[in-house]
Amino acid sequence: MAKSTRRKIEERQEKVKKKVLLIGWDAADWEIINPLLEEGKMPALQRLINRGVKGNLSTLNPPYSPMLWTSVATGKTADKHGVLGFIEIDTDQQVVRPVTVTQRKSRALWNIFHSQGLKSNLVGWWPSHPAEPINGVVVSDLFPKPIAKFSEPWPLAPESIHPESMRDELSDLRIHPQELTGAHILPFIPKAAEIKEEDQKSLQVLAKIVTHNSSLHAASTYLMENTDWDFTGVYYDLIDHFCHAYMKFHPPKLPRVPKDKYEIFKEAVRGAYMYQDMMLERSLELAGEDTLVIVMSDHGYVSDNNRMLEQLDMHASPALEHREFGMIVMAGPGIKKGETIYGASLLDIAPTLLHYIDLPIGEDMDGRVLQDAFVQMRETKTIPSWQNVEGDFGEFKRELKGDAFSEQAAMEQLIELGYIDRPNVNMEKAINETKRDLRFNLARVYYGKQEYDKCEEILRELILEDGKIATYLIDLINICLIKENFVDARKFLELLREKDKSKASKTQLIEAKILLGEGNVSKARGILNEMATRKSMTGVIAMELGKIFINLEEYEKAADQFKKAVAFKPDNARYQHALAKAYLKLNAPDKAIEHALNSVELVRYFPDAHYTVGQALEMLGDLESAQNAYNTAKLLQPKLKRAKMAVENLEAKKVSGYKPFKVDSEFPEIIVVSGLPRSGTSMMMQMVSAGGLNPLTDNVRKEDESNPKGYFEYEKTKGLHKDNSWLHEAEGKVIKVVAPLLKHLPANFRYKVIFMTRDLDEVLASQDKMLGRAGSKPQVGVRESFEKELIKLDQRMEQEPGFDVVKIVYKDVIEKPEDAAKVIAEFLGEELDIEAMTSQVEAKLYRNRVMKF
Amino acid sequence: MKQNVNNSSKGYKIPVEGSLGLLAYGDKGLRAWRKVRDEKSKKDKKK
Repeated sequence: MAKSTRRKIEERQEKVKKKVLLIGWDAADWEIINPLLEEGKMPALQRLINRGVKGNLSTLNPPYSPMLWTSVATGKTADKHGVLGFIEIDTDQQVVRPVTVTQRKSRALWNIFHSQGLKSNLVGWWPSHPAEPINGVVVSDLFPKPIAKFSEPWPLAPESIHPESMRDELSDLRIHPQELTGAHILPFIPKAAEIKEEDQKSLQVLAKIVTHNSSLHAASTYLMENTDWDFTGVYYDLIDHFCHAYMKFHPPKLPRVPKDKYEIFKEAVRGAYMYQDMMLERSLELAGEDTLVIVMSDHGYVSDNNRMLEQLDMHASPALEHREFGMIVMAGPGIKKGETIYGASLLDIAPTLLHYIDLPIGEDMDGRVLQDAFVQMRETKTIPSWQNVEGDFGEFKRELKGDAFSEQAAMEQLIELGYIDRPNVNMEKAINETKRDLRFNLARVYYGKQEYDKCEEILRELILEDGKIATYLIDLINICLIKENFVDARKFLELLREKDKSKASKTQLIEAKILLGEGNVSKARGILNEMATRKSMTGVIAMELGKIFINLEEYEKAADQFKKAVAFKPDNARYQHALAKAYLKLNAPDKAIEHALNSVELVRYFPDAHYTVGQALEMLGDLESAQNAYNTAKLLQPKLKRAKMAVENLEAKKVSGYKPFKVDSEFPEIIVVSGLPRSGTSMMMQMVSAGGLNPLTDNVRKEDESNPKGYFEYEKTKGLHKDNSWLHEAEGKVIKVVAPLLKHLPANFRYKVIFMTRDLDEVLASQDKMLGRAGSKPQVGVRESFEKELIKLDQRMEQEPGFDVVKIVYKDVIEKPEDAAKVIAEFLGEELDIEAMTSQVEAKLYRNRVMKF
Repeated sequence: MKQNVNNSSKGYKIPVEGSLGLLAYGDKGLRAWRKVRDEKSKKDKKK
């Protein structure tokens, strides 16, 4: 051991020792845990909850366990930590094998602890093979895997234990599947004796899972009892593997599941949770109450009617059953008791533990400290990155000598679970396929992080290399749609149709989205309407259709689709929320609140749904409750700017009793002059500029006969729907934004909108004159369309908390300019030069007046 | 499923066929079960 490390050990011993036990339960889900807790079937977890905090833990995309557990250990997303899937390529041997620690390019918690002289025990972490040479003991994930024939010599996989001196002490803690008896099997499958010959393999699978996990558990309890440790991390895949094998038999019975099999296997999943709880009891007993304990999962597992009965023929299809929320329970010194924490991500585990141990977190970590869990908030110490810190971090830096036997055993397990396809017998092909899969996973990481350019670059490369082209194309088309690149979206759609004819309904939806982007609304609507009538339509498609109708601002139709989605899956919080939002758009807050509440009951961590609850309550006049709902949304998602603005508005409303002119806001303000083209917006820009406001204009559009005093426009505004990154230039200034573009103003500013209104016939006459169509017949439907647009606009501005609007009638400005100037000055709360404003108005410019009789 | 490990282990008779409780008790439970099982096996062989 280096001298500096020894000194750090001595220094730490002088401080109060803080111990941490981190227990990973792959795929554990509150939806299964909660009923078991109510029945008193998970007493150890219940006691831990009682003396700590609990909550949902959001997962990452793609939800593949080795990537996720490495994110837990590093606090970083997979593009940074480098573990990109279940398998890797051994470049030396030119073979594919289960993923190892050698892929990890970021230091894990135990490496950091090592550098600080702390002792860690790490057991079974995925991946943790080969065992890293840290201060403490590592039992790698390959420890229980290579299973020899029963009663034959059973050597440990090379490099599965660090230090080597522990091999003998630990190797006999592995349990062979054939050691199990009825006493071990029957608690999971009480009717095991009734299993038919063809299903006997499922008992072998069960025995393997139970012994694998029991072996790791035995190693962890041994190390907790017999070593001095600061950190122990133990990973169990029991629940995940039981779910993959038996979730289809979990109650309630699905129609397509045979009754006899259901009766035999229906208790298996619950049994796994209960056994996990029994193991927890022993771990907690060994840890003691002075240890900080975290029990957490990397994702949940679908257990409702949408369970998959068969695996789909696609990349890592079992992961499709992973639910986006895992669970966390945290208890120990300094942790709150009996509370729920919100908004936690598995990326937060590493920063939180470093913070607890009084170590700085790396600024390059993607997670944050779960401050809400602590009784006392402490300032978080940071350093730029642990990667740049010099010293001994106990990392594995040698070449890994592959062991064909152990690797094969681990590969077989991944194949059995369906996580990987059996590698191609042609090794060159297998290597190329693996390379592509790993790059695709990286692309999906970027997709999840909304780094679309990086994602697109990889997907475009992959498409050129062929492989599973249809899978890549769907993501690529979605990116093109996000980036509004409809030309490429169409090109890739044609390619997808050519490559995979089975995705008919999926491509029709994409077709509709592209048509909308291309401006072909009627054709898009035709496809959507046809799809909407299909009986076979699933909730997912109904949801997508609803979203498109929302974009088309056809709220009735959108609500109809969301209702179908909700009917298909009432316990889907997103469907419930979408319906709530549609009802808000339809001015039906009573219905909106019902569905918004449904969604937050289903998923408490749903900031947008809390915000919708707030909006509905505000519309119903219950301001106090609305503010509570907005505050919850804010608490769950501090970046939710609309919720912050809504709270600011309500605070100000309490003082002034009506929507306030001046809100005490943390958001910068932009003054906007808006209205339909030819409704007097240029004149208003001219007035407020003369009054003392600073206009944001580039004078690219010169004055002409229609606007002899100029247009006061800013070129970039025309592209607001594509790029609003420049909008900060308008802070503290006044900018002209035509009415149809108002919806593209982002929610990170407050807008004081002076909205010009003018008789629509006059607007149309003025527009016609400007377009050289003076005296011609009015365009069919234009007036109605403008009317509808203005109604929707009114509603939209009313529901946007960052919008404060005053409507100014063009005719009034012409006839009483001084009064109009005063109204505007009061609205803006600014000292404006009323006289100068008034002098800008020239009645002679009031042309295209429509005489009405 | 019943948790059948008595933490105090006083008066607890370890069954030859083992139990999930013993496995859940970790290394000690495992070793204690194997001891009982192997002794029984030896006795049976002697008979």
